[in-house]
Amino acid sequence: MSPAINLNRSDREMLVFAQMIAKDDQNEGIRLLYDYWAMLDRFSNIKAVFGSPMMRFGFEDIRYIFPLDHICEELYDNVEYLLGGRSPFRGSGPGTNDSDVSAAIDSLMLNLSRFKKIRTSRGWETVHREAFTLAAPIIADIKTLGTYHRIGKTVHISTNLSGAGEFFSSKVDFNSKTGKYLLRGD
Amino acid sequence: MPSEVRIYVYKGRIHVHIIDLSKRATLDDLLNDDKKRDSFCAAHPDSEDDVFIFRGMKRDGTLYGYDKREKDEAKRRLEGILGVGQTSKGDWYVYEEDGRKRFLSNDGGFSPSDVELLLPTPVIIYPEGNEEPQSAVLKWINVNHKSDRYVYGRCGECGKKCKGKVVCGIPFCLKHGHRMESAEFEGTMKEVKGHITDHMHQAADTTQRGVPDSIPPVGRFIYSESKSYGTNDADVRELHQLMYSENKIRMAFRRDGEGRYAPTKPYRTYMESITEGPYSRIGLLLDSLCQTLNDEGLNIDFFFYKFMIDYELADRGSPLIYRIGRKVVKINGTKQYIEALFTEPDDVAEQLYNDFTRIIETGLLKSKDGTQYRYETLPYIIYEWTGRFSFRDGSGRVVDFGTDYFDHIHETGSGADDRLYMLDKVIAADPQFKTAIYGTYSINKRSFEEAENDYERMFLWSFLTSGRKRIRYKSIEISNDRSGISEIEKIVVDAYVDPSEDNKQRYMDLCELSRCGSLCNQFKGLKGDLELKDSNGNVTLSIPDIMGYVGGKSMADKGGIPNMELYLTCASLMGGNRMDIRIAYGGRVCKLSEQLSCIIAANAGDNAVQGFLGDHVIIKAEDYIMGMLGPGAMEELKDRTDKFWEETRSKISNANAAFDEEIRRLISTVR
Repeated sequence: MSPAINLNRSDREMLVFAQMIAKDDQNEGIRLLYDYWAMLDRFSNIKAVFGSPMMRFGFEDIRYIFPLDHICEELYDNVEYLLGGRSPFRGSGPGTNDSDVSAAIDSLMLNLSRFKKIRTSRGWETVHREAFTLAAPIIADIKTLGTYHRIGKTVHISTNLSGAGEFFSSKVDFNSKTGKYLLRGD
Repeated sequence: MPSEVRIYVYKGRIHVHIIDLSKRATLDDLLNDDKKRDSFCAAHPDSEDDVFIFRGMKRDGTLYGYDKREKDEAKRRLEGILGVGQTSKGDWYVYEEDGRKRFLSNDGGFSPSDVELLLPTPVIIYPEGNEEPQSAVLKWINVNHKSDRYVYGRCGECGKKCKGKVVCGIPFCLKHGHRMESAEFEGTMKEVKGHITDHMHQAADTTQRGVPDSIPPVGRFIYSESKSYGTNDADVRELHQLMYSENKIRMAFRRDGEGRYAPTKPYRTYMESITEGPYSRIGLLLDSLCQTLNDEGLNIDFFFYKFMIDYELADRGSPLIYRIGRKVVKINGTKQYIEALFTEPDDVAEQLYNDFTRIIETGLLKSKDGTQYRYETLPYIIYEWTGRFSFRDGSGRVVDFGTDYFDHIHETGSGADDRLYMLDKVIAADPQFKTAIYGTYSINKRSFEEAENDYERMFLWSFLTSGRKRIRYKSIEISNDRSGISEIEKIVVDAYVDPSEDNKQRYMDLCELSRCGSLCNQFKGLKGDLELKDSNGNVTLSIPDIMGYVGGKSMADKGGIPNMELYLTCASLMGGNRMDIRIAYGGRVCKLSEQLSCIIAANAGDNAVQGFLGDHVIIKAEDYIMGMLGPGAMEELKDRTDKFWEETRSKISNANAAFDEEIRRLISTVR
């Protein structure tokens, strides 16, 4: 995994400036900081995973947002591996998933559905904690499925999602083939 | 025997345009202007050019009566024939129908002038053969002129009563053809004859009663049929005052054929018959009085009024009924006189100005407390009565500043010279005026010792006459109190934030003022009252401090825009949100946060943001803003940010490591 966060001298100077502005107007200071980082596309992964929410955060949230972005980046890459055009799992091979594969997929589906329920409005600390809690097993399950696939097991998921982008931006049905869906491929 | 007889009649009112023929263009204009068709034109008799006199009866492009005369003859014709004359002072005038003199100019010249006058028109009558002139005139009157208007009155030459005929507005005696002096009755010939019959019957009745007839005896003056006056003091006074009030001055003084005033025969006879009392010698003085009247070109009303005052024929303080041109001005006292100066038309006001010295000599002008003015100047009298500041310069131009003279004394540009003249040549040169002004505003000579030039002195005047409350300097005005601090700050801030030409000019004027010691010292005198205290009660700045600061910093300013340091000093004093301080950067003047927002919105990249944050102007502004919170605030903020940043970096690193470790743990568990 590559380090996702580059806290450089520019950020520090910008932080000083924003804090000075914030002495009179907290929102104005943090907005400048956000605008600046947005200009540098610093939180593109958070936006990719949680859509493009109105990013509201305070100076104390910075310590959650940066690792969150890292988490989102890792998560996005793995989901793209799971669902993207090069996915080895989309209708791959004949037969059915064995019990180990099914268990891993069930765990994955459960966590993905839980992840989709995370709301940024609950505060960045909470979002970070929940994302941290869910993203790690999701990534672990996807990697496990990859391992199963590499050793010759049938890993089959049924979905009409085109990739990670559509997964995170759409309402996904994990129970039936309605709308955009993601199901165990038995 | 004269070859011709000349009489004068009035042929009606004509438009008179008198031009200076040295200006040929003016003449050409006149000749080509159909609107001046019936003009009478005369040349400047003193012109070195050919002199022209012509009566402009222009018909079909032909100018009738055009004549060319030599200078002297032209002057004679102007004076003798046309009733135009020149006083010993060089003022040109014409006689109007009522015999009063109307001045055409007051500068001794013969300015182009347009007037409507009823001028006497000469009629030349040529006797035939050995015909007597009187016969020729009578024939002309009776034959050549049809008129049904006749009069009964007194002949102007023989003094006898007779019938007369009105020809072209002039009554002529039907017995000798003389012009009549007065007409007591006017009507058709039948009506006149009836009047004469009645009159003769009345005369017969009075003769039978032993009452003197209408021919006045020596020692009486017949004012009218019902009024005659003897030579006792009361009668003499009453007669003169009546003549004056009813404008019958011509009963006493009339013009002779040369246009010069002389006492009438009845009046001379009457006055010379006074042998006792205070008026006994006036009769002997009549000729010399008329000499003065003629030489000085006095207004006849004014002359008669002064005559009555001087010889105690009327009380001092009696109203002056002053006829100037067609305007009648009644002056009861100082107030009326001054009001007339400002309310009457220019020509009337000018004459009133001219006659000030004569009027004050009459004793008519008094101060508000009733003291008679004697040596006071007119500007002082005007000031005392109205509070107005005005003067009349050597060229006759009247400059009136109104009552707010000192409100504008600081203004430069047009009018500044006049204001200075008022101060130095009118007020300062008049001890009474000077004392009044200096006393009113508690000013002494030392007040101006530090002034380096006239303008500084005027600004000092402005300050002192405002009760030492406001300094007005060119385009700026600053209160000499706490609000003055805000006014100074606003000038600086406006020039920095909105560098319009007006704002820049105001700022440059402020810089000039800050280097103007005599004015700034005025602020210092009140320093104790002008201290500005911060929230901790510490003295920070006063007006002198700020002015000194401006003076010190302004040298570095270019083009009327203050440097940022001065701006920030002033902006910070204006209170409000310190983040609202606007900074000039990148062609914009806006708040720091707005500056950065604009850069970010322009998507100019990280370098542009870093350029902004690293710019010395912005750093200085930040330091200044944070400095307002107290010393070391900026350093404290940076230290705190560093600490926060290190903590954040550490937490991020730990969180990321934990996340990665969790994934690895989960994967290994599955495997």
